[in-house]
Amino acid sequence: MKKMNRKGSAIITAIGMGIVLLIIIAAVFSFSRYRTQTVIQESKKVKALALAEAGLEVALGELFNNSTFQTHTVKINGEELEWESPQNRECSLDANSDHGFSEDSGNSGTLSGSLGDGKFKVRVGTIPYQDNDKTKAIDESKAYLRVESMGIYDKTVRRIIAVVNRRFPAREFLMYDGGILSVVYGQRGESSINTFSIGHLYGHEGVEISQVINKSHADPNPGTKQKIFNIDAILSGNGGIFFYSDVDATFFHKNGTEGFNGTIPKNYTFPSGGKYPKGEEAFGEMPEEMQNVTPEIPENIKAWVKDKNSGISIPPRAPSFDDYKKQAQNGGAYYSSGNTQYKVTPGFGGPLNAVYLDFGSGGSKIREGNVNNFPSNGVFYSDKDIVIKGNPPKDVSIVSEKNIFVAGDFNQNCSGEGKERYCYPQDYPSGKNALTADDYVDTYKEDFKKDTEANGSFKYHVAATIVAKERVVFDHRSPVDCCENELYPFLKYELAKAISDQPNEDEAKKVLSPNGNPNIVASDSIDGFKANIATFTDKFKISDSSLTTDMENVYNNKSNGGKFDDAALEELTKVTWKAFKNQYTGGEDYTGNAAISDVKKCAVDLLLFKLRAKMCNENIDTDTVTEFVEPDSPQSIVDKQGDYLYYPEMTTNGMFISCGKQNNTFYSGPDVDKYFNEIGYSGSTGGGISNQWYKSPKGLLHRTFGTETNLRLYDVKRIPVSENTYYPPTRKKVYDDTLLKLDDKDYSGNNLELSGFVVLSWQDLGATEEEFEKF
Amino acid sequence: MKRKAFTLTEVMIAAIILVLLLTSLWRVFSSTQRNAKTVMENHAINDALDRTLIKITDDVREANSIDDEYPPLYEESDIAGLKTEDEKNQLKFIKVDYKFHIDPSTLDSNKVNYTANQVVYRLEKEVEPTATENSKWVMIREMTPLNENREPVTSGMTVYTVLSGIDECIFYRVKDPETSRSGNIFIKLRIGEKDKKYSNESIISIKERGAMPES
Repeated sequence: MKKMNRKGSAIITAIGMGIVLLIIIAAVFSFSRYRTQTVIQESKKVKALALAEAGLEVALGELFNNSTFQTHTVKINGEELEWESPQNRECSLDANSDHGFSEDSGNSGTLSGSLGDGKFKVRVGTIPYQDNDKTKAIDESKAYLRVESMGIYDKTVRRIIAVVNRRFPAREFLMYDGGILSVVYGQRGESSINTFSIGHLYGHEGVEISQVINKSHADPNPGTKQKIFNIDAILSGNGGIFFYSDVDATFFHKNGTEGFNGTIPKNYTFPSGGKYPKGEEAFGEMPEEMQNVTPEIPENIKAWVKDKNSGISIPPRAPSFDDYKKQAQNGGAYYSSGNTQYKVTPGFGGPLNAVYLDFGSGGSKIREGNVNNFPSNGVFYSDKDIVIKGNPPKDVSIVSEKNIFVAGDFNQNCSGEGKERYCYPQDYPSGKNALTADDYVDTYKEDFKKDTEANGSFKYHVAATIVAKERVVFDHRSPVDCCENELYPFLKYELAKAISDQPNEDEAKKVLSPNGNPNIVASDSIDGFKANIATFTDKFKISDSSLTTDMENVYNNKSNGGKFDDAALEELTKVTWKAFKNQYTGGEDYTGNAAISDVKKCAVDLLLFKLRAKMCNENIDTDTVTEFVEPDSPQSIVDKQGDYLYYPEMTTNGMFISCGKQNNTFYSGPDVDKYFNEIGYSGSTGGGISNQWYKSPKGLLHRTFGTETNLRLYDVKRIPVSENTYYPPTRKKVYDDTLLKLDDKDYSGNNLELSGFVVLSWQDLGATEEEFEKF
Repeated sequence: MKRKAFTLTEVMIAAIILVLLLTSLWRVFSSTQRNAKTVMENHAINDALDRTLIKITDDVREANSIDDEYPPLYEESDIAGLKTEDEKNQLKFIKVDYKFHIDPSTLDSNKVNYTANQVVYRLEKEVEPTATENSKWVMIREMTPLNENREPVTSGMTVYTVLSGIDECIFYRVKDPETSRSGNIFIKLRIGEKDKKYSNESIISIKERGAMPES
């Protein structure tokens, strides 16, 4: 059959349909491809950004391990910060990551590495600012770092430019607390005022500052006040700042704002009957009602008082005990066991096998101490507890895996001459005394500046870093240890009166004068001298045959037929003070727990009572003083300048770093007695001694130049309130920028320095593959 | 030679088939086009949502201090009940523009090397002639410079619309004792085309990275 030649439109139709289908398919494909590419690209950007952030975190990690780490110097060019010269550096991070983290080899310039399938490059450098003298606690020339980090994933690059504020918690902060910083010291019904001066106050989880009050803020008899004096800033990284009462404060002038001198008004009422979800009420937990609360801060102090909303967050971070230990084992002093049994209050579980380090009294030569071979690198490390006091001759780091008890004056030396014969001259501005003045008289404090002189022959303070894995505990039980430099010259005065046949107050007073040159005429017969010292020992209730013998020996060997010049009187005082201490301690090296129970029959306490009375009335006949006489008020204490009459105070200077959590029974709020890392006198249960003068608010003064850091990182044995209570001393905590290490202008790097980093500014920017390669 | 031709019937049948074919083709094409348009519109919604959240994310991450009242901190159980019209449903923060090239120690005592701006994201009802309760929301970004006393200088304020057509937008924080500072900022954002069924909702969490200057 012949094929028919039939025409139709099937092909055209098919082609048409095909075209339409192709268009649809192409459109769908194109759309899908666009969407897929967009998603892929976004994903790559996110990954590249994460890599850039990883670079920033790596830089911060290196800085945490070595706060001097930098890859480049930075220069300011017009309105730009530019990278300048590559710097030698050492990386310290381990590549023990499940995410493929590694740092490339190299020890100079840009730090590069990889993470997963991507790479990062990062540069770090210090912004070259000058130190600003207005901020005493911060060295701005080392405080700001530029960090630039790039991350690349496939061919997508992101760049982060940040500026980081480098902080040194233990060196800049008068008080740093990894939990809640409580500045509520003292007791109800007391009129004393604690002073906190210069530097920063920082509580990571919050800060509470208040007069001691009670009865839901309606206490008719409120107690100790706190005074914030010339503080740089009060900060919390993660909490609020609570003033439960009005607080007197002065703040430094800062750029962009005037200074402040006035009263910070109460901004929060502590809730009574609050809830404590963690059940940690007795160990520092804030009531639930206060958590996440940031009380209003008055506008006129916002420049200095900043809560968590300011983002200045410096979380606590542990010091490197391993590194300290290595240093102690190589050029330092390492102790695996103690050399004494240290008596402590029941709460601390003693007696403790401890290493006892008495660095001696330094220039005054009152006491030798027991550290005969000071290690070359100045590092002492013990696996056990450590007890310290005295004046280290050189810069020192004292580190314990347990507690460090500061059991007496620590690190305030004197030249041993003139006004500094027995101690740094603890004099106060005219009209003020130890309890009412914020600090020593300015002209004397000028002398402290010698400490910062390079190669200076004498230093009042060395750079002292005291680090305890558990707690640094201030043990102010013993006046022998805490008040030796005040009691010793007064004992000399008492002796000058006592040995004379015809007591001559004017001549005896020369003992108390730096220019006095006393010449005391005792009996010209040994029997007469014996009679006088018998009266003396009876008056001071000390019966010690060896003392009598020693005093007679001094008479025979040092005096000139009964004429005591200063050297002879000094020798007499030494043997007498030794006997006084032995009576108090039972002959032990340290005096944490008195050997006698009836202090009114104790020579040291009688000496204290007489000294206190003399400081209130310089014309008083101290022979008439046989008991503690409480001054009418702190203001009634006369504390003249230029003599050797010094108010009894415990002076402890350095950077004191505790890593343990809150261990004493410690309720937050203003209406309870708070117990800090301290051991002091307790009437019944504290295990301390019965020193009546401690009870008074006009009693012991505890002065600290330096900083106090409580990191709150490790669990420590908890102490019930019944096992460590004490009457609180008046506190003067002063950041002193002449104290070495606090304002170390020549600071050239210490990889054991506690450091923190606050990201001030953060920018996420794009970059090209070429820029990454060239970086 | 006799030439064959299509019969009328054949032509009619062919025409009917063609019409049916073209009709179905048109329907397919038309439907695809409609769907494509919808997809594109939905995609535009998704894009707008993503862009807005990315922009706010960048803004917040560069912030130096987020106001702890804007947005407030809520219990987790309260979050479901939050509404766009809540008075405190705002995101307020401070962005500091540091001039790090200026050494602060070289400045006069009343000067600092930074300026600061207060940024506020807030919602208002769309303005339209027949605005109703069901009207959608508009997100506004306001930026106001702060003077040396850290007070806003409203004369310098800049305002612009970030996004319109918002069905719901909630700024909030969640109480969590384990989080640092006031915790992350959460943003719940839902947008959709007017009178259409499609809408997209996203919840993101952001944390600021910067900090305020100490002085």
